[in-house]
Amino acid sequence: MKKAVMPLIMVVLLAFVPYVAVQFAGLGFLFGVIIPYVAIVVFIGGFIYRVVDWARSPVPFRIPTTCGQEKSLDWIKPNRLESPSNFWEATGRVLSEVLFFRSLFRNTKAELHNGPKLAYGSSKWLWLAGLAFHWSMLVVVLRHYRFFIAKVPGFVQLLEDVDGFLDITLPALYVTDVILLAAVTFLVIRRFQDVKVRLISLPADYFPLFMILAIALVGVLMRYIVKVDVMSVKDLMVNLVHFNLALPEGIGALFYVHLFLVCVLAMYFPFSKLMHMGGIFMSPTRNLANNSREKRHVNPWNPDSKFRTYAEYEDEFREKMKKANLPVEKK
Amino acid sequence: MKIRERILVFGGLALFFFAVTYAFWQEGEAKKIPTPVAKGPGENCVESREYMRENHMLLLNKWRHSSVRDGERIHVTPDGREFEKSLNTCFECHGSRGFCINCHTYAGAKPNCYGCHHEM
Ligand code: HEM
Repeated sequence: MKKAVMPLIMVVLLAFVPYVAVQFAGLGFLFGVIIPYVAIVVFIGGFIYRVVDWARSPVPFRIPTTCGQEKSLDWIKPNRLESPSNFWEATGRVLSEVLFFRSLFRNTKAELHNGPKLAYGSSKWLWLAGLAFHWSMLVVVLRHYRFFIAKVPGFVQLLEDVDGFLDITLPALYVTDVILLAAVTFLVIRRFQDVKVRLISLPADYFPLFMILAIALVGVLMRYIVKVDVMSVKDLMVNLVHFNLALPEGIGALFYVHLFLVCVLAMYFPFSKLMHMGGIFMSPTRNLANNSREKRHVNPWNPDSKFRTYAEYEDEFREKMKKANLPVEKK
Repeated sequence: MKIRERILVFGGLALFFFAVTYAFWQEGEAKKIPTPVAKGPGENCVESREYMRENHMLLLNKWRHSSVRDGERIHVTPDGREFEKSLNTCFECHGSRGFCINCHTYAGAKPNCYGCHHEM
């Protein structure tokens, strides 16, 4: 339990800091201008550093995890996605992983029944909630471009229209808000509910979940219940992206809570499990083609050693082998 | 790193960088909020300016509900002034639909009032 309580306390504290600082200490400039700049620099710099660091690590061997027939002889049907044999097939596999979480679809659960009997069953909920969460978060983040770009781009407007198509509540309810909150809630409960999952869950698993839940809750609060002045928020953001350091008056303190939590999340991102966003593209177990029967992959830091091939061996012993009636390749 | 891996990694990172900084490359200035062009005497509105900025949509929604469904067409402010619940009442001071559209376009929020209502 302590593993979940500590991150929860941290998130609540982090939410209080900007509220108090802006409401009572007038530190709007720090939380509205300085920290966002620091956050985006740390986020981008850290992200690039991590990816370049991975890219520089040698990958001497082919280590793709496969679960299908490798390409070999003509008459054996290869499984092109599960055991990709070239660049394009490997690309297809990575993309199906990124866009649809294909391997998570194989997720199973193990249960111990009376008997004792061990039973495995299909378990698609993690896949479904994970996919729903990631896609709706993407849409939410893309929709946020309307706060940053003076003339709202067409694709953002389109996302808004589609997302708000239910046309209930005022302002119109976004479907992605509901899906995002429901899915993150499920992902939190999942970690509590199953003993095995609870055991392997760490504070570093709960913290990002709680952060995202808090950010989304404060966002929903701002949109539907405790209004903030969106015009001033947009002025601030458009100013920031044009390096114009002016802080508009009269933005509600709740907005600074939202923004500060986002900034903390962004700075935490490159150094946490959230880096799976870049990591999924860099995983040698996923992005390599399984072609080690077809191509020889030599470890680049192998020492130069003298090898003796079979042909050389046979050349030396051919006559003796013939006398002993051993089969030889060259007569 | 092989050359193709290099292209893939740095191409991907460039894509990431562009997506994150997308807003930084866009034209346009922050807009000064247009001061309400009130024709009537200064503080004549049904609520304070601060309240209206954040909550006008809720007020209009309440007006619609109470006037159309309950037939209560008169709004009484806490200090006793009376207003007819009608967009025309707003337009008496705030001119026309252009007053709404200005900010709404900037904020990317589409009001659906004008699906039914028309300007005078
Ligand atoms: C990880 C990044 C973020 C997430 C997940 C997030 C999430 C949300 C959510 C779920 C909402 C509810 C309404 C909606 O879906 O649009 C919201 C609203 C809002 N967010 Fe964010 N947000 C993020 C970043 C930001 C940033 C950087 C800003 C700075 C401008 C911001 C400003 C706002 C504002 C002003 C609202 C209220 C919108 C309204 O009243 O219509 N958010 N946010």
